[in-house]
Amino acid sequence: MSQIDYNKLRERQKYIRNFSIIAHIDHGKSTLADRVLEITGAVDKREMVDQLLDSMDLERERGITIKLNAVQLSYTAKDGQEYIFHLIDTPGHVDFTYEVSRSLAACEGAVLVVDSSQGIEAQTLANVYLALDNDLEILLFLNKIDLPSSDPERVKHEIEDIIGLDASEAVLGSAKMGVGTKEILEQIVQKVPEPKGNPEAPLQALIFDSYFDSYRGVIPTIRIKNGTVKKGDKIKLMSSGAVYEVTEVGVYTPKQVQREYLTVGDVGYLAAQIKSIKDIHVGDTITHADKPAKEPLPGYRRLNPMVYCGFYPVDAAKYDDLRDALEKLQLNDSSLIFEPETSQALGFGFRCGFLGLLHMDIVQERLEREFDLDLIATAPSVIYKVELTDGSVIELENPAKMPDIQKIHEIQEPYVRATIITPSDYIGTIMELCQRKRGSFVNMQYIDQNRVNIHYDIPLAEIIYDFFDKLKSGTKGYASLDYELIGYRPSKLVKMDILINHEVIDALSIIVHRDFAYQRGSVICRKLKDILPRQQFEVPIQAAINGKVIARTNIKALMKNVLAKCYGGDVSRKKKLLEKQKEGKKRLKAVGSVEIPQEAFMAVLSVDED
Amino acid sequence: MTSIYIHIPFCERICFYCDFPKKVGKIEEISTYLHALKKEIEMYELPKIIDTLYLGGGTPSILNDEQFEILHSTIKKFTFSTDYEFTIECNPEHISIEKLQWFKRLGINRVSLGVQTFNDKLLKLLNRKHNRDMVLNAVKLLKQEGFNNISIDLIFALPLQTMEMLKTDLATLLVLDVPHISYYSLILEEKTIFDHWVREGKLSLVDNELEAAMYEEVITTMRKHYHHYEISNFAYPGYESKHNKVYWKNQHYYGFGMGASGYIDNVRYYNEDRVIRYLEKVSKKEHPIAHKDELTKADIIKEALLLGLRLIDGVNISEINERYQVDVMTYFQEEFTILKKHGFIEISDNIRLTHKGLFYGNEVFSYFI
Repeated sequence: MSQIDYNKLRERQKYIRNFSIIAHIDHGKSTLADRVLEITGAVDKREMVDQLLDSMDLERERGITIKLNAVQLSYTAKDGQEYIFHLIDTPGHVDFTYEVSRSLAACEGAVLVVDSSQGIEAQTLANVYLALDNDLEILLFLNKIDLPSSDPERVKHEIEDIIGLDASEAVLGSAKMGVGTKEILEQIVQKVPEPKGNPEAPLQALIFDSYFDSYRGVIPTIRIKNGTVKKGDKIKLMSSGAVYEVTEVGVYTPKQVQREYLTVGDVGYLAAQIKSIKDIHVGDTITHADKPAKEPLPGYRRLNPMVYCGFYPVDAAKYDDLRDALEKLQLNDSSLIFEPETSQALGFGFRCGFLGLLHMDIVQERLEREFDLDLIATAPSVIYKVELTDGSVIELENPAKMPDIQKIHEIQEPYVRATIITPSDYIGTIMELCQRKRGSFVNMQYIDQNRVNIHYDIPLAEIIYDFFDKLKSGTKGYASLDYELIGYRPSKLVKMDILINHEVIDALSIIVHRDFAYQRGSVICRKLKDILPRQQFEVPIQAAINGKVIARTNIKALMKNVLAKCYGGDVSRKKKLLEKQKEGKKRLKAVGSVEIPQEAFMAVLSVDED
Repeated sequence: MTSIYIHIPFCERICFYCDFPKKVGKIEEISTYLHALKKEIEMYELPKIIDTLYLGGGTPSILNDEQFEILHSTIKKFTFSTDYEFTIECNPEHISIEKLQWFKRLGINRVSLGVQTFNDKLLKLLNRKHNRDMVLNAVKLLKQEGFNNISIDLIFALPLQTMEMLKTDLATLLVLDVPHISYYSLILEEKTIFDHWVREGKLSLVDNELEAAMYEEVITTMRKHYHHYEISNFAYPGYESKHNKVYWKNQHYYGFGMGASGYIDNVRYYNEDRVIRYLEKVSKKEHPIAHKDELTKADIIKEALLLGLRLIDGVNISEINERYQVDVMTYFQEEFTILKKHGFIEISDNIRLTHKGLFYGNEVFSYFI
């Protein structure tokens, strides 16, 4: 390989611009990214699939970004100079805040997209703060100015008042109509700083994403902060200490294109036959094994799951298939963790940990779709800290495993600080909701005359229940929510068991606040009564705390189930009707003598008081 | 044995619970349809002698003179066996001397009346045109004119129906002294007015417990006077429906007309269920078949049980073994063991539903689909 001309690299570095697009969900982030890809010619219009960066089917269906992507683009600016852009996509959901912060750390600038018909939302704020934490230059793109309800002046004021950003040079545009894209690209050239760093210094490459390739191993997506990396280099992962030899480096255009080397400011991938996802952590730093950097890049932390639930195969014979599937998913998703678990009711399964509810939903859906598994998922639970009378503390992520009450000194549960932005008409509704969810008021600021920013400290467990749905329905969809973990607090919590046909169904046990136990118990019993199919005998449903029944109801027996007619010889019709009944049964899990459908395990969650 | 089903999909009005292929037809449309029906039948090479013929609907009894004439020109080519059965489905309000003359000309010897209930209020709820008195008169006229083989269709577990109302219906029915009764429980079918109302919360079905009690009441009362020979069917000895037995015994039959289905040479076929598509295909001299299922041996054996277990006598083990060259007890060993354990079936020379099994038929049938 020819000697690298570092002076040339330094010159090239001046024309690199690395940026992200950040936005609240639905404000048009992916659409703007599409326009940028089109203009820079990265993607032929014909082969353009709308919202290309969201490449998983699930992502496109849900309109969210789950996995990050980073694309190298070439843009010829008005000054005639050709620039190298790296557009780094960020997930738009609170479950993935840490990933967002790491991908922002790979940038010098961020385009903040705000829907000019709606204004700032809770996630906008959260993302802007992350961008400011990372010292990014923030450019403003006020989107959807083609909508009649667009009010860019009001939104500019909001941005100046709340975030304190100068909005005078905000681009007014419509990503959908392609308006304002060129202007924002020029601003990126003018305002986003070139990458700092020395191509001859010891290598420091930030890992901000990774995926698994069955031929080349784990492929991290990296941003080079210092130094240069090429094929054949021996590299070291600074947190795990693992050493590998680089087999390939390259960039995404968005297709993978091999390069001779990656250097300061470059964003791309690296292959090194890394076999274990456990060696690669988002936020970690890659350096050279023989000439290591003195320190890793700042900000790395291990991600811990916030929410746990049990996954059980409906068909017990599929246990090994489920384990294989989880292992495969984990290769692409290091924040998913799982370990075997046994339930008296559900048999053998896995307790899985997730970053949040959306993450859990996505994993479940991928298991069912991509691996064709029928699953029973138990209600998600947070991690409780239980201090025992002997002074030791256990972390409890499965309510069924709660120790005997005599042995418990105190139970603590995780709290979050919730940021809720809402039209002021709904202040009352929201405060009532937060109080009901055991929240404590922190403060409230008026954004303008009509909108407020409310902060509450709320148990995470309450957010997991139907908080978000309730918030949306109570405010006609206008309120937005963001939250961050603030620590553990002691609570008066008890374990509530659910008995079906006099049998404790361990997978239905939940932890509730003592003051809400009676009410929640009776709602769950009623709900289960509606969900559980009638059996050929009467089935009692009970909620109990420490063996004492606090609520009960009965499911009446199914007395008759037979098709009356023979439909003029139309056998297929009869079969279709029977098949429908059978299909419904497929997702039932026989527990003792009672068949329990999947929804029952989620019923303990959505507790409709009405 | 040769059996034919002919579907006449036209009605004067649509009953709120019905999901059979049907439509409210104009006079010209009905005639066009009957001409097409004739062409469809002529496409087949039918056996010489016909044993059972069933005119179902829809409402075959709405045909006028001209239309009966077209139908007659189709049917007169059939030769019937000596003990043939030719049924027409009929609304009570359509029974008149003139109609019955047509029935005789066509060779019809069995009339199935769509009565549903004798309760005038419930009849209105179903959107039926007739009332109790019309039914009584219709039966009287039929008997006068020599139509002794009468069947009455009734429904129980109707919305708003109480046990008292059912008992009144049963009492009225017994007085009529007709030789065959089909007593169905209401099935809420998709895409019916009832289904729509139930979804909107405007109508509620009777509770499952009451429905079961009603079925028990129907069985107990009817068995005192009739032979209970199928889940929903009752007959005086010798008056069991020959045509329907063809279905239950898993035998072959032809199906003609829009939405009709047939079973010939181990192929189940299903005709187009929209008039336009049906007419289009026939005018192009094509069979108006929408799709066909060619059955494997395994399918056929399953269907033999699926259908045969509807009969109170069930299926005869040696008959099945001989007909399908199978040892059915080994073939379904697992299924039979479970079903026996639940008390749904009993096995001697025949495999049949128990009394409990009659109430949980679907649990049984679902093992054979």
